[in-house]
Amino acid sequence: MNFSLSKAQFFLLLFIIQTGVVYIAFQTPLIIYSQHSAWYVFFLASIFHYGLLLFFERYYQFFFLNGFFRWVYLIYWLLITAVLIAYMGYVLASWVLPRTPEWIVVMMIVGLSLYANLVRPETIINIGVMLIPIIFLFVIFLMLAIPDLTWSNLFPVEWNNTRQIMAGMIHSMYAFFGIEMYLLYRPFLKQDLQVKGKPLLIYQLVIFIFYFISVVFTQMFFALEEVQLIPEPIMYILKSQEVNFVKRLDIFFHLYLAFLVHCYGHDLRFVLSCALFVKKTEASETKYCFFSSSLSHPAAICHAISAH
Amino acid sequence: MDKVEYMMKSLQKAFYHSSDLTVRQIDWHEGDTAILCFYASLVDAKEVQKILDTIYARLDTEKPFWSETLLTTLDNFALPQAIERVCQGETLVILPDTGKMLTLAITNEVRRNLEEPNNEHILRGSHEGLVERADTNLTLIRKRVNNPALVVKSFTIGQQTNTKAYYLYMDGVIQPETLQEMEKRIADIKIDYFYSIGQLSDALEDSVLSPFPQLLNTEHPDRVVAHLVEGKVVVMTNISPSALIGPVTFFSFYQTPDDYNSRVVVGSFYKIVRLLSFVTAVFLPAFYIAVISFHFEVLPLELSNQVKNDVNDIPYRPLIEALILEIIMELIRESSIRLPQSVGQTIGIVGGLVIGDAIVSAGLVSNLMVIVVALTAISSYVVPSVELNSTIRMIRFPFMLLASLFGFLGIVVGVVILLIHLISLTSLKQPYFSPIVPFQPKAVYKIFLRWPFIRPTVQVTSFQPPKDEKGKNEDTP
Repeated sequence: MNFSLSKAQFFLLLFIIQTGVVYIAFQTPLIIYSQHSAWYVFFLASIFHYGLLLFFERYYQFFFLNGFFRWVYLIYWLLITAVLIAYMGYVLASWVLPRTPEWIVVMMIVGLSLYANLVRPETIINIGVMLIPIIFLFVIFLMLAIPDLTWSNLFPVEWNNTRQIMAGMIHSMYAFFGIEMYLLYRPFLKQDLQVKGKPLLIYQLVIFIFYFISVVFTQMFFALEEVQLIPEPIMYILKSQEVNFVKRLDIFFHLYLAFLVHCYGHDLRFVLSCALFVKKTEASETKYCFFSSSLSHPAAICHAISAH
Repeated sequence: MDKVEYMMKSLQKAFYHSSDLTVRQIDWHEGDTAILCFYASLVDAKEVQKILDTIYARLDTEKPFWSETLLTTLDNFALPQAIERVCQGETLVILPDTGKMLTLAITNEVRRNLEEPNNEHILRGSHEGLVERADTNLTLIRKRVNNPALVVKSFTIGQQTNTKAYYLYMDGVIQPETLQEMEKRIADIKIDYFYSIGQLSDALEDSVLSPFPQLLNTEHPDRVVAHLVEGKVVVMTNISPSALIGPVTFFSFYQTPDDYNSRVVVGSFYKIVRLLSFVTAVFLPAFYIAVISFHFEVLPLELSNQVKNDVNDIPYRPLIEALILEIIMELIRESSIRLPQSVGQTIGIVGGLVIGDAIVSAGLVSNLMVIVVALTAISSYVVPSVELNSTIRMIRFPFMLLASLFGFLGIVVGVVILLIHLISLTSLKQPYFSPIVPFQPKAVYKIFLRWPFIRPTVQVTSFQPPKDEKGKNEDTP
């Protein structure tokens, strides 16, 4: 497939891959394992993530997937997509559409992803742009919770509990999964564009702040005992906010997430394009799109059923 | 049968013995005979007579270039060319003895006065509008661009109708690939009978089945010029006052000359208002249906009580309620367009006030729904382009259906489909949703704001931001 990415497109693709439904769920296990130290453990994990980005930037040209690992990647991404779609279906069924059968919601998400995958590559590269205003809006809504935050929940910090820190590190890294896509997308960046230095730092700061706000707000909004009972803390924070004109802000964020999952599904095409079908034809890509959609749909439904 | 008679019969036959065709034998110089041939419906006979008198006088004085005037040419006679010229409204004087034909290009010009286009009213700026004659339109444009770089190329459309058309561009400003694409598409036009600008638009657009127009249709010469200097191609025909402009973006349809003729702040404000109207025009009824049918809990308690009281007595689902009102609105609009202006206004008042009030009193539709539909209608009429206006009014129906089936999720699904479609769309192979997609952060603000023309600027081309950062004024009305 013949396409090239600008810097903005490259980082937007990465941002979509690295954020998603994980944004509403990873805080709970992180805080359960790291207790009051969750925020600084996440900070450490972010430094590790930045180090990985720098490492990838330096050595990406030596990254090569052989036939076996291409298939490993393919299966991995298929499963990830199925799990995410299933989780999104579950979240939407719990919060927004309790009476709609889950398979219909999953089918809508998969169908849309398929439609997007069958149009021009540029469409999928660019659709993430539309998320930018929603992200800003979401952060503003989240800020409405500031009066309810208790800053003392962030302390005391335990520096000596290695087990706590390591467990927290593992759960913090959930926030950054999808970073491997850096290696796959990077060769498609336009030749004369440089990302090392300032652009990479800005990207790291954006994604760090986006996630860090969610961790810190969760810690400050809920006591440790409460967090254990709440699977999607960000949703609860948003649900507890009321403004004059809208009572349930969380619904709008669910819609943002649904949008994000659509975009996420769209990125599947790039995984396969980059990893598998770079030298193959458009027809084989189309076949794969149908193949992956027809597989991810039952997989997502099975996962959704088992989750119940 | 002598030669002259034979030629006259041949001409009559070639023109299918049409009643408005004049084929007449006349006396020519020194006892020779000539044949005068023209369509009486297309020729100004008095002017022809004047020119012929001049020609006779020249022949009498035996001037060597007797046939050379601005309006006449002398060529060898050939029937196909003769037919073509007569069909174009020219007069032929055929000289059988010499095998020559003298062509007099004097047509009976039917033209209307320059008036402001009815569908593109503006407050300030030029009120001249294009007319159904290409030469008049070219005059209006050349009057504004006194520069040889403005290139006009002619072509004919319709293998049977041979309608004259032109495409215009600014040499040195237009991107070569845009021009090549337009020329390729023009060369590929295969139409037998051309009679409507819609046929040309269909032939030139990238995606005919898309509901979104990919060529801007305007009757304002100043708007044409503004796009020309931005590096776009303009296509005009001899039968329509509409000029087709391409490539354009989605946001081009939201700009009017008024934005640029008014104050900077005022122009920017109304640009933003117009763009926001897209959201209300497309999503407001769908949002209302989703709230009433699925997500009542998003409303604050006081408001939800009022809404509940209002919709409780309505006997059917909000979708049906919305469809009834929307269809009534469309009917009122359609009838007010087709009727004479004075009656049309009456229909608007009767439809809007009387039916609106009666339908609420009868308990068929809630007060809130009337407000929603009225707001939606007003928002959709804010769009300065008639084509996009119609598109917006149409695409709200699928959103209403999706909202009634899946609530907010249905709207999100619709939005994703709409965005994928808009992002995939191109206008003459240029991205339709530029500068949002592909994302050009430095150009995005120009969608919402009208920048002042105070710096010495470099005129830039469409779609590609200039390397020279001075070039900031690529916004076009």
